[in-house]
Amino acid sequence: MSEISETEKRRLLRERRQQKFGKGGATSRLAKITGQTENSFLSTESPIDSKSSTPEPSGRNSNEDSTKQMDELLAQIHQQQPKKTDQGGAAKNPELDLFAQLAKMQQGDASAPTATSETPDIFAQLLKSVQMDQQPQQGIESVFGNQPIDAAVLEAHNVAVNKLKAYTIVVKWFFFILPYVYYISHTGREAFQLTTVDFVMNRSNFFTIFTSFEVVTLSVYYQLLMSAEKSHNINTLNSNSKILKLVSMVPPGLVPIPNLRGKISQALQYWDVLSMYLTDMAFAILLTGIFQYYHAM
Amino acid sequence: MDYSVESNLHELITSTTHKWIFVGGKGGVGKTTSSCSISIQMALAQPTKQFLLISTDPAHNLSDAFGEKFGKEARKVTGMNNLSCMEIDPSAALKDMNDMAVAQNGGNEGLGDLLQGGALADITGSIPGIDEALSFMEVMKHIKRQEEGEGEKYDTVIFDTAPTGHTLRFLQLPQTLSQLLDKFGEIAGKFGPMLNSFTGGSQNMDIMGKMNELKSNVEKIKQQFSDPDLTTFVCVCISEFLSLYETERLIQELMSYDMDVNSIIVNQLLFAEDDSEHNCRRCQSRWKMQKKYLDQIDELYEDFHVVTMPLCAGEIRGLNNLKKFSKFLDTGYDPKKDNKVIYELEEQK
Repeated sequence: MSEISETEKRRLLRERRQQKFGKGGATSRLAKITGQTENSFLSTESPIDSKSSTPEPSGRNSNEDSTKQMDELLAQIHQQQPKKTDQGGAAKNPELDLFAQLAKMQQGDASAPTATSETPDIFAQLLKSVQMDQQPQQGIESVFGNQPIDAAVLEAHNVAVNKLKAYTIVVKWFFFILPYVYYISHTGREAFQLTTVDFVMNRSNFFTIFTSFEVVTLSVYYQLLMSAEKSHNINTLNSNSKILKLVSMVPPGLVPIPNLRGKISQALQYWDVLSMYLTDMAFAILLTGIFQYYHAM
Repeated sequence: MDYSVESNLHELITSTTHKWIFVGGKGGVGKTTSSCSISIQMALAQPTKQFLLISTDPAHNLSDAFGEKFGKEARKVTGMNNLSCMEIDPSAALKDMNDMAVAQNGGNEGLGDLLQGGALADITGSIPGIDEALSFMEVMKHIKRQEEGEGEKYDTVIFDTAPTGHTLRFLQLPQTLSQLLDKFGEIAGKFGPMLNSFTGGSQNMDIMGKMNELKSNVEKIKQQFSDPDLTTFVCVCISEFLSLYETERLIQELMSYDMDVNSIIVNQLLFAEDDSEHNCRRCQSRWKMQKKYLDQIDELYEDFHVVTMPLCAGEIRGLNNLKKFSKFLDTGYDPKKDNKVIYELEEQK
């Protein structure tokens, strides 16, 4: 026979075999085999017929079960996005309280701040979050939902936040720090003596006054920032911080620190405040140097 | 058109397209003898090609069948230039993995101590299906080597498989692995860069790259195993009720995996009516029983190559005996003309 006909013959024989095993034929074949012996307990259920008759998620295939479980696990990982809680935002502003405490301490008020539930301090909050388990967000209402953020809205929000920051800096630097440092560095000159504010002009009180001013201005800044975030329904830190995005990729349970994201968010918030304070301080020191230089000339 | 099917394996033995041939069936029916016989006949019929016989049965018999020791590395059969044998030893492979892990974790005393005790091998060796997984890894290694042109190239690989259940698990592996790799791909796509940064430094693992390579190899194997011109499964059975039942179930399972099955070897037949000289009552009774099932086999498998092979007086061990016995796979066994071979097998010491 020619090569082509041999190939064709093989193909036809294959089709005949498949036909005989298909459409219930496989089960009948097994029944035929088992039927020839009495009291046979062997199954006549054909693997071909059972696979073709039962729907895909039959529950009998352990591979299907395991892939289903994997799907559920992936869905859980997605859903376990830490809620965008601003632990300092929903309740009273802890930063304001903290600076108030710092200011009190500077003024020699040794009385410890009353760590009541109305004025939670940073350390109490940290302790709370350490004592919490994997579900710290229960009971704390999230100001911001988990809805996806529109890119245009986020951009507009960032522009607003940057504007706010710029105005704050301009106001602080040019309407307070610059004149204050100038007046401090010119204490003693008749033209600039202000008798009614000796306390303010006293150089030894510089740090106290500067810190108090910073506390007030930063509090105002954060209040304005919060109102902007509320109006846009966006948390600035959560939306823009690369560190938080990286941390959110860490699966829960991988790092043995409960509420890792919340802690890092809080730390970043405090760092934001501190960095602004340090920047203003650096500006004040710079101005002091410049004014001293010009006075010396 | 003539749909008659020859009662021999000449078509398979002279096939130039088949790359993978599986020989399997219930335990004790003559799988090893049949797989050795097929390999020898193919090697003799196609002397310019290279053939590899791999045993995936943890209870290896190839060394006993040929009368010489084979190991995890392919080695030519003494007396055959184009036939090599290999016995995959899962425990040795696992021990190698364990030793490699010890070498890589030299700095880690705690882990190194644990591994030096063979802990990795002990743990992984007890995992069900590990034998099949290691055999499958060998298959993938061969495919990779052939594509890269490394090492010895084999035109056809014949598998002497383990009893039915193990073999079916082995054949399910491509589908299972493919599904698993799809899932791992999803996870690694999300966490891969982070995982890479955690495992950075000298062990810079490209998880996605390795998985894609593995998936690609697994898909190739799946395609090849379901191509009837490349892969076929030869069922070996005896003419008894349970063997017939299990053979039918095996064939149906294989068809559900889209694997081609067109040949059946029926072993250990007595052909007592054609042997008037050696014809005891027991043989007569047994032959009658065998005939009953043989008729049913002929009826059920009229579209298959059904090869009937005799029960010999001695063991079919050693290359010479295997050559004598195996030629009937190619030409078919005629109990009237060829029954002398039953008593001509040389005794193996």
